[in-house]
Amino acid sequence: MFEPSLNLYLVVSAILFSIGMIGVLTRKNAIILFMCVEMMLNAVNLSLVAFSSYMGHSTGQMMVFFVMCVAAAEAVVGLAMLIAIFRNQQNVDLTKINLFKW
Amino acid sequence: MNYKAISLILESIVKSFPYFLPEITLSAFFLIAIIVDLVVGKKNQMITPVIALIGLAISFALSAMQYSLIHELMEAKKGSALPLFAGMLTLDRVAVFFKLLFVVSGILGIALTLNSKTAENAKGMGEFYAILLAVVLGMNLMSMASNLLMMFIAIELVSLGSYILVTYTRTNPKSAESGLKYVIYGGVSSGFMIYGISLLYGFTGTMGFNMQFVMGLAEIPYTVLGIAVLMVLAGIGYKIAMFPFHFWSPDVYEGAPTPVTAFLAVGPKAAGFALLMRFLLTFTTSIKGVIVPSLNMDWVSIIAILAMFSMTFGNFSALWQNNVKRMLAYSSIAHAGYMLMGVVALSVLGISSVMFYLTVYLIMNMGAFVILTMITEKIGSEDIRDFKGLGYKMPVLGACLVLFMVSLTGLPPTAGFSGKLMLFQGLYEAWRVNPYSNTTDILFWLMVVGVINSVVSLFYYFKIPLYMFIRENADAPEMKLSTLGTVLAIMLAIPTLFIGVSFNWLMDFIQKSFS
Repeated sequence: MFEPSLNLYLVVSAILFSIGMIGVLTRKNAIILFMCVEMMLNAVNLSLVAFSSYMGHSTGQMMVFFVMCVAAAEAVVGLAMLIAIFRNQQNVDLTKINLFKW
Repeated sequence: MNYKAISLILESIVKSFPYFLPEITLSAFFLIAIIVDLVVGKKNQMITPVIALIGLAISFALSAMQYSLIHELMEAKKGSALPLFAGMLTLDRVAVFFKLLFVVSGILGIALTLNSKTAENAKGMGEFYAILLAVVLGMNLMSMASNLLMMFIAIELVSLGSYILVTYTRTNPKSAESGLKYVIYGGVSSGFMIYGISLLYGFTGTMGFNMQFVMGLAEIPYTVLGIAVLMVLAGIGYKIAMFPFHFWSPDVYEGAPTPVTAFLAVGPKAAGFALLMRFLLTFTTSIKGVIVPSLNMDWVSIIAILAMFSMTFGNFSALWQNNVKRMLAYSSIAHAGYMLMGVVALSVLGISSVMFYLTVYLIMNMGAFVILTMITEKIGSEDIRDFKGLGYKMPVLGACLVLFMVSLTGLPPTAGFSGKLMLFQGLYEAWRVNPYSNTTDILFWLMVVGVINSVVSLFYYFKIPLYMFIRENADAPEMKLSTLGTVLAIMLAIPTLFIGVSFNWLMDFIQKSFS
């Protein structure tokens, strides 16, 4: 039976993190952007759990709960803001949300 | 984990509670403020801010008591730092000093809000004050955090609160948009930070800043450690608006309600510096009283370069701005750069100079914002060019504003000058003592860049007095300003002048934190 090593988990986590980051940098829809941020945080969760199970103590797994809570809180605040913006401007396209000038 | 270890941890937690009273007070008053606002908030608008102010005042008194408590510990030769909650938090005098600073910034933030028209654009101000208390609680935790997990949670507590405060006047499109930008940048940088934390945890096997952590760090390969530390710095740098993690700050400062801008420019920035110094101190060793960066990682150069960029970028961008709040946002990036000079020095003098400068910055920046809030709300514009001739309509406050601008530039005889003097002195000492030979040049160039930048900042700070007093405007509006605002401004102007003239007492007080 194939046993995945720690390295494999870390590689997957790094790939997920990069996908999330590229998404944040390139996508134009604010909701997709939040999903990408969420993906970055969950990539970290994977690496935390992998480290924690590799070393055989629970600190990393405890951290994961906190990260999940924070991610949820961030999503709540962010979506509330999106609703506020949608009421003001009738869209969530980031290229059209540009009131600020350099 | 066996039975004995668990009972030891439980005992440590129980024993920690008496030392956690300022934070418990803040949490309790946070809940009280929300409940009271739900019950009687509609009828009585003033009750929540009063409750919040009482909470902050009690927390201030309790924090001040901790100062003498630690003094007793030191007398009894039990060390100057107190680990709380099984090492999650560390209570020392530096943390207590920062906690006092945070509470003052919270009180000033509430006073500014009461003096402004924020309430007119928001639906109910009750939660505003409650959330402000939660942010102060988060900042308190940031200043004490000595564990990667605690660090992350404290930063997020401050961030989430700030997001809500920034968006509080949500019917204003600018406020909502700046909030969204803040959340997105915040989410990404906390993602980076937690990734760095996971790497550090993976290599050392612990999250506390303890011996195991330091030993583990020494074994990490150069590149990996560099990446991990840089990622954690991204999270902290985002809080202090350090280059290149500053992109949110101009938009957020401009879009947020002005009192919130004033609070964000001071409170979370100070908390970020407290955390940054505590975090970086784990990467040092003390040899004969001189603090030397340990490990094979040259973070001194990294921070020095980031400091140079922060100053230069902040100051030169501020030159083009006509919006006052946006200009002060860029100036706050530059000030973060100046304060990083003290962090780079990281001697006792360096750290105390950062604490000194943060105190001074709190006073002068809040002072500037008190007056600017009143002016911008009166004339309904944030453009400096609309300030024409206003100085003669409000001579006292106009003079105070000029004083704050002189202080922000760093000219004598103001507090800003003595603050900058301390920072440069700390850096000069570090350069002369030269504990780490390979970074000498960079410290020297950092000093040079710092001096040049102080000159550059003169040009944009003096735009405000220029328009207010020198440009004539026959039909400048009459300025009838509130008494609360005037009193606040004068109360902040007095220490700005006083610390400029005599600053030894404050420096002595700060340096006592280390003895």
